[in-house]
Amino acid sequence: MSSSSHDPKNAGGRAATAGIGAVNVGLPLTVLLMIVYGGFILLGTFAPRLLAVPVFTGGTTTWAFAYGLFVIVLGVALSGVYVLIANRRS
Amino acid sequence: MINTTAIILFIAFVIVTLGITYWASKRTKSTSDFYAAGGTITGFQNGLAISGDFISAGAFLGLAGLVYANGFDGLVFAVGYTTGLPIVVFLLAERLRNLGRFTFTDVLCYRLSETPIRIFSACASLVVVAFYLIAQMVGAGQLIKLLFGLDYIYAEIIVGVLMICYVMFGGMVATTWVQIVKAVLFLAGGSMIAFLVMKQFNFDFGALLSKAVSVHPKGDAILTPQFLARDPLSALSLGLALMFGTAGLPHILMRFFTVPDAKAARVSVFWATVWMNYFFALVFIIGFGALALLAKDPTYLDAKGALIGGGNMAAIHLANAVGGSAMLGFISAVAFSTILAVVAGLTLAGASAVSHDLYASVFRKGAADDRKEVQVSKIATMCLGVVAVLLGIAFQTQNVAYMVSLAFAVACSSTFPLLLLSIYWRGLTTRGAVIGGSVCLASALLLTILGPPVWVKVLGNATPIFPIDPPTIVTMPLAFFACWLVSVMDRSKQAASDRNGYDMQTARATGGAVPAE
Repeated sequence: MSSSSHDPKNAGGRAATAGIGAVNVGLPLTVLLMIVYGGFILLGTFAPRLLAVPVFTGGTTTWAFAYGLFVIVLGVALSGVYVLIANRRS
Repeated sequence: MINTTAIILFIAFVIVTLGITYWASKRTKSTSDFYAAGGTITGFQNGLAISGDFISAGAFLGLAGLVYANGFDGLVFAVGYTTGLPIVVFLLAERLRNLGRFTFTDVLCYRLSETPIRIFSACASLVVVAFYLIAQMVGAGQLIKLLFGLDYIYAEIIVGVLMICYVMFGGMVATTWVQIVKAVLFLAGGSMIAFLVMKQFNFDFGALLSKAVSVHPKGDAILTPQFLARDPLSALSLGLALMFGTAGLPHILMRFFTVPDAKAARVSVFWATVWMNYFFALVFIIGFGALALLAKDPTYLDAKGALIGGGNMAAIHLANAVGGSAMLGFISAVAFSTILAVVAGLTLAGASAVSHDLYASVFRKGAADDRKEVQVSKIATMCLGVVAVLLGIAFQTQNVAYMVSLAFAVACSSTFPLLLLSIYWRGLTTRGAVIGGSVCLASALLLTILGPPVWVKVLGNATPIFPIDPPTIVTMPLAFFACWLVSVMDRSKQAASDRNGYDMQTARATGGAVPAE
């Protein structure tokens, strides 16, 4: 940006690329989890009746349980994806 | 209800954990050992310790109690808690490890001016830690009261004294090892209870739910979230707080400095996520199991039909109902040690804000010797212990999971925005961080006090002055906006140096070569 000495600039440039890479993985994963969890909260807030529908007709387990469990499992899966990608890179 | 088997098991367990503390204290030699276990904890061990921090009173006792009272509403909290750690993995964990030494403040100070930042973040840490402490103290006090038939106030004092012992003698090495041991035991105990509950219903979750519906006055309304729709703004606010609050909790962030490198930091959060999310999934069974098995059983109810010992004790009664005295003693002991260890970790985070951030770096300008610094942190521990006991008494009737969500709300409107901006936005300046952060810490605190949590539930007023509970949906955007606005308008010399430091910080944070300074 400025005319500072070339040394930091180089290192900054190299690391910035790596940094952008890490953001590239972390950011979409964050957004994905936000959308899925946000969906859970929004459904619960504005359409709780949809979540009250049983998963199997006649059963008692509702979609609220299924969706909630899905959010929990997704959290683990996405963390796994992140660690795999990040550790392969370094 | 005095139960000898339970009490013997309980005392044995507490002695064993104190033994661990003693053993660890022999290994605590430097400041680095005291705060960060000398960076010697492996990723897998640290993962267990982090999940240990989470699987606390807030999780086990509070959530089971919430489900017992309100059905699925309690699980909304459980699901929310599980989204927190993945966010820490994606955005913060490895950068924190690369930039910091002992506390997350070290990270903020990498390119921002040290003194004002340390003063601010020490205050923010202390506020967050205080809210979190309340939850743990209430849970522990009620547990001791129930198990030993002691007065609540004495129960609180015992918890306070034990907690101070843990921290004073062991430091981070001890709290980490205690967390690891009990995380394993707690996971095992929780799994066992869930298994025994399911066994009673022939492993048919639907049958368990039918039973729960049949005994709850609200009927099948408990199978879906109820409270969210009543107040949409508060619902969204809670969602935000649960998702991003974790990333601002000082005692969780502190754990990333106990591992040797960024790779270990990543591995540790992954394991933490696995264990924690597994545990919160168990709450589905444990919570509804408590409802199905206890709600009509006079053994566990008082004359008015409420749970003996209060709603927070649902999981403890459930352990007795499915596994008898041995299970009761085991779970009480593990739950108690959990709380103690979490409280110790929290206190350590609070104490290090005082000793490392305020004393060593601000008052002594980094020239304090290690021994003196550890001494200050021990004094701070004592003070925090006393404060914790007093707060625990003031909030004694609150649900613990709910109190935890308040700590999250404050964390994600103060520490989290600053960390995120300082790591990802070149433009953040010292002035922006301090003014923006202070405005939001103050507003989060003020709105919590004027809102339902304190104004209505503690002070006993009829209607809150500020209706949204928690206030996150106002304070978190405000935090980002205030930091942005003040930073952009900042034309000072310090601001230029703050912005110039960004490249070097990014290089360091991402593990690239660090240019000579």
